[in-house]
Amino acid sequence: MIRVVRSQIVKLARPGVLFGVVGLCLAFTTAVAVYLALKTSSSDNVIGKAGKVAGSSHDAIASLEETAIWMGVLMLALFGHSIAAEFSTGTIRNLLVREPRRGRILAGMVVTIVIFAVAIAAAATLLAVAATFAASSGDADLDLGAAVVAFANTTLVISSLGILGGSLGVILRSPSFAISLGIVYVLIGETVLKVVVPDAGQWGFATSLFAVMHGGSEIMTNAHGALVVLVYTALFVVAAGLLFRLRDINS
Amino acid sequence: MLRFPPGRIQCAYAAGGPTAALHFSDNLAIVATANTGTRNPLVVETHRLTKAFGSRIAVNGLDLELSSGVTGFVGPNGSGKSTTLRMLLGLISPTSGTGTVLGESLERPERYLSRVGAMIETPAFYPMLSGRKNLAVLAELGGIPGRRVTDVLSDVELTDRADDHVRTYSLGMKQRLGLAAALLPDPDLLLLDEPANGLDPSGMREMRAMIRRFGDSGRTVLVSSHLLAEIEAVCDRVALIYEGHLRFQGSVKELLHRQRAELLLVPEEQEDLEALAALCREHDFEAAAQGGKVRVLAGPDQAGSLNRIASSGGITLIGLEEERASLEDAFFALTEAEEPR
Repeated sequence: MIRVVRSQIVKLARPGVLFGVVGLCLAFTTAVAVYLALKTSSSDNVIGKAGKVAGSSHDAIASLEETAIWMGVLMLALFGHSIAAEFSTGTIRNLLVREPRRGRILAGMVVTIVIFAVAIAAAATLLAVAATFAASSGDADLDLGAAVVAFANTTLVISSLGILGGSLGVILRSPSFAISLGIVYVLIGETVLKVVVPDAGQWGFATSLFAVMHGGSEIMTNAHGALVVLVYTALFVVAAGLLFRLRDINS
Repeated sequence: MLRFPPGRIQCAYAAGGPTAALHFSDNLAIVATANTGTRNPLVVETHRLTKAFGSRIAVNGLDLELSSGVTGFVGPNGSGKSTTLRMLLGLISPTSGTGTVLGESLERPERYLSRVGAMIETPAFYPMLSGRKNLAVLAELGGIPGRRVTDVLSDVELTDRADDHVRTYSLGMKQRLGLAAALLPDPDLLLLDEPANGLDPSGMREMRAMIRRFGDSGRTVLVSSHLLAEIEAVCDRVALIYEGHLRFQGSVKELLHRQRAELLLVPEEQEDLEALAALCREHDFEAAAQGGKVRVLAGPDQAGSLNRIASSGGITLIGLEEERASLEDAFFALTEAEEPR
């Protein structure tokens, strides 16, 4: 599986991905952190669940809360495209000839997504904290525990969205279809679902993501949300894995 | 049952290229093998291998036996050629039947694919990566030393463009890169599907030479192509597949010998043509005057008899030659005259 991870990293470690998707995630988070820090400093507004102290690391955490879903959407698009394109362009044939154990291929792809998510979340957290401190002229205090929780929540959110994108890529085998379906469901679909099925707010994937993103919500706690997201993520992987193992590669 | 004994060259071609006179009807494939003499253990063997896509049977009870060397796999779209290759690579599961590749069951491709290189149909690569990076991805995946990437790029003469994005490559360069990817694991078995696609004449010649070198090294190559003339030139074993059925497998020579031999007699005087034909028919030969020659259904061993018959009738022959059946003739004879097994 390590070989799969290394090969995926070789594939993804190109300027378009690093400066495009990853760079965009980090730049966006940094910009939001600076904006929130400046806004908090000027108005003493309380922003975000953790934002109790003006010009503190809580602004950095709030910036992660606000941007995690968008970083996740970018990850969904990145891995939805990357994995679906393996099927639509036929490069999956090359991969399976060199590593015919499909379970290993899929597991390696999931691990690669998590590695990217951890790296992006860590960099985003560090940059957000640094930007907040810089914007507050170094007067902010640091709540390390809250920063770690925010990092963990951000990692969970963007890795689960990346895995959703990758799973849709395996299932649908069309980059555009995988990306659009994933984004539409997360950003719009579940809102519509909750209108039809009011209980969906208790167990919906997107609802749980937003709860985790904000460290908990009125509907569910952070731990409950994290558990629901993990269950959904596991279901995505299992569904994609079953189809991947059983399907012929005809492309 | 498809088997590749070690020590042979096998290649496949399909009509349609500039040097091929043969045009396939649908659902036909030929496999040609260059026999190097000694018979070694089978490299690929299938038994009643069948693949159905819904109600359509792409490969039907294929019993193929191939040994090492270069084997050609030839045929038009839909003959079951690519489906067979994909089953050998574990990309699709057989509906029924069994097989072995390099002594391992088709059901366990992970046991043999590390010794197999493949280029299936048009090579697919990541367009935003360089040729070198594309190979590096596969090398990492297969646990292949990184230096092999440089080696195979050199082998296919792509070193100069190795660091350019694949999206900038011509079709011929992508074919070369596909071949490089196939050679990456230094395989014992090489499966090449239409490797000559997009190659210029020089590239095709180099490809033929590479295939021969590989086969001559005691390893096995399975090549498909639409160029029957190429099969005839490179291989001396053929197998013919039609509508998923194996129609023939054996040496090219054996296949050609199945065709009725003809001798062409050229009389010194053109006005003797009809008389010569009639004389041959009197001696129970099928003969007809055609294009300034008399065409006689007879093998080369009967050339002396025919010469004497002509002399007995007072006709002097200035030419007596065997008309050798081409692979194309054999191909059509098998596919048009025989029912699938």
